[in-house]
Amino acid sequence: MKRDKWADFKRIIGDGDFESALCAVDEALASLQKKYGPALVSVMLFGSLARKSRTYNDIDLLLVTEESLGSTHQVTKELSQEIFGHLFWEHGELFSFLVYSKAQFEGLRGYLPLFDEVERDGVLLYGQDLFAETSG
Amino acid sequence: MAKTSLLKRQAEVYLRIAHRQLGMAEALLEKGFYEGAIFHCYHAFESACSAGVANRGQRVPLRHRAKFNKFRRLYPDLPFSAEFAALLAELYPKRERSLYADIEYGKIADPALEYSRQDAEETLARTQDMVGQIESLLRGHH
Repeated sequence: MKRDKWADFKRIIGDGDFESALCAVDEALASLQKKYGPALVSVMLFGSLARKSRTYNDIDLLLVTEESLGSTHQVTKELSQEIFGHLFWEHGELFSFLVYSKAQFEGLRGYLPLFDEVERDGVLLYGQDLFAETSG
Repeated sequence: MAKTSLLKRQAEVYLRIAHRQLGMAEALLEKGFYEGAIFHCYHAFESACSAGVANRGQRVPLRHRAKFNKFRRLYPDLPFSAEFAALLAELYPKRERSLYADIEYGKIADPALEYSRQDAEETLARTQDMVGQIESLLRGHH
């Protein structure tokens, strides 16, 4: 199955109802790349927005980094204060995110149901498509 | 009763709910239920937003995202917008993590072990401050 890439996804989905979400994701990507640089391996969009549902509640992102970034509490606080809070105030979009190191991602593939969902519906926003690289 | 007066009364009730949610968070924190404390911080924040919407004579949306957005549109010049947005962005995913045993970092994320006393105390202090600021705003003290 060919995976949508971000530029194709944006073209297919158009603006309209999704305009603020598309802007928020673009800004989130730019901020994440600036913050993590080459340590950011992959960013994928999944969940209801990736399925193009007009009734999406929030924007789900899967981030994979070269090394572990620390505890979930720390990462959540840091990203909320530096990136996602601002994006809510600017665009009215709420983000939920999961962060894994590449090693953690590889170790969990195959038995995490959420990854099945990302593999099926996910949109590659940035970096490597880790599902394509490890499948088959 | 006029609609506006009814919504003003609704705002008062929502503020009371916000304070009760903070009280529940405090009680759970004292008992060592840190994930429960964080869960109730989120709902204290949400109830304060409901109060803000009703206080402006507007119907309070049922869905959380719509509610937070209505608040944002009603108070575009919020003097504490950066703190408000950062706390919301933090509480929103934390609430989910306080309920579910997701698998991550090579282990099961047990909500009971997810947050330390320090995490819960810090989150509670920031939420109390935010509810206080919203209440002051609604009472015209800002």
